[in-house]
Amino acid sequence: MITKQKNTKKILFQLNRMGHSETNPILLRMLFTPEYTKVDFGYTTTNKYIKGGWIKMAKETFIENVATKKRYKMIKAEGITIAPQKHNFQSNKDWQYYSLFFEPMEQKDGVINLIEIEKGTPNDFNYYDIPLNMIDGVELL
Amino acid sequence: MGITKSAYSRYRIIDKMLKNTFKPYPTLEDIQETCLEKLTFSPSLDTLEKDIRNMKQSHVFEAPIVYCRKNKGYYYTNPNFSINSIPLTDDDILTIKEALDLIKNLGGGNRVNERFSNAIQKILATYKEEFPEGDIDRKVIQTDYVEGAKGYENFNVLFESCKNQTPISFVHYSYTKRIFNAVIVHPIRLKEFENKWYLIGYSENHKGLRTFGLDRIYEPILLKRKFINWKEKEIESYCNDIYGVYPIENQKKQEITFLTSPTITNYFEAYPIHPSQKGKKNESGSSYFTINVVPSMELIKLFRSYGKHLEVINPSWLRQQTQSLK
Repeated sequence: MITKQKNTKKILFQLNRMGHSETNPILLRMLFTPEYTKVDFGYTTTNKYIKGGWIKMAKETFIENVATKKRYKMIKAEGITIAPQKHNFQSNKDWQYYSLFFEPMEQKDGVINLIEIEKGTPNDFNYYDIPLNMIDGVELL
Repeated sequence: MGITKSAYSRYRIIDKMLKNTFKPYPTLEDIQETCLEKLTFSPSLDTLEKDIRNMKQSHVFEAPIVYCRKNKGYYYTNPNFSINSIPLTDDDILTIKEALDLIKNLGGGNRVNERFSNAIQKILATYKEEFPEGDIDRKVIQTDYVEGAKGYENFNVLFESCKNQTPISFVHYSYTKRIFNAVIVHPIRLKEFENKWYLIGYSENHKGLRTFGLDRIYEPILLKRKFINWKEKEIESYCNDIYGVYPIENQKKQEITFLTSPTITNYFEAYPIHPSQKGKKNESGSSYFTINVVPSMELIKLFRSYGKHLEVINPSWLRQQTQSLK
């Protein structure tokens, strides 16, 4: 059940931020809405794996407010499969744009972590200490 | 939704009966009888009632049809109204037919927004009246457009953002650099080159004018942000002083001279590659051409594609680049 916050605006953050490992997808944008928080990612395959390998997201993925420790669960994924299902690539020159949807977050300044696996390996898609200052966000039309 | 052929035939009958001053106020039963006569089948009264409702409510016709209780029949409140009253000459209709053919070829459904579809439908209604059935779908113009090309799903939102000068955020993927980037762009125009579409706009990230292939744009979002009006002169130069779409970085507008063999000279004469193109033909049939443009990746590609039949004379750096494959 998605609980509605008091936020009424839709605020977009352009982040273009790498994860904790260089093979992680780039975290492109975060969109705050009263219904959900949407995070867009871009992944490019590398020579590390045969035919570019595969990607998937753990269903327990969450966003955490570093200060309050409050967690926001993932509610939907678009463009990527939820583990154990895998999105297989065909070559090491492929790419994939995908989005994860989380429970709505408060539109307040803060620092967040986006965690796929707690204390994860470099293969897990974890992002730490992302500062979000409302003044940097852009309101949607 | 489009009007089916059979529905349109019934609309025409209803229209004619409502216009008939000798037998005004036709009833549904009268219309049913005439349909049986003219169309060799009898639509139900429900169908005819629905037809009248559609003619009244449709954006195509907006027919002012009213039921008269006193005379127990239907009539037009505007006696001059007719579904065939769009004043088009035969030449107009021929031109529209060509344009329709072009539109169909250029874009598929996504590119034509609903309002435009309605306008076209209105024209088609008259067009069907004037042309024999079966001739409508005959293709006489063919372009390079291939159904299934990527990026057209965003065409309408990008078109609207250019038209209304609304800044947008989108994710761009560079094929050559293999990187994703979330960008904020103040869109200026959509440009087609060699059957591919591009968005030209001021990019906040790049702090300058940039070109983005529609096939590499993901999820454009309209933003509530002040539109940056870039210098008009610079926009015109960026969009027009070029062959193609991607200018080579740090290159200014310059005169480029190239020599074409007699075999390909005719093509360059028949289809100039830029409005600034000028030619000076030699006795042998070869020709020196000059164009005044900002060099682009597409220009180099074009020059190289002619192999030994085209030689760049000036500037020397471009001569070197185009000679490397010969």
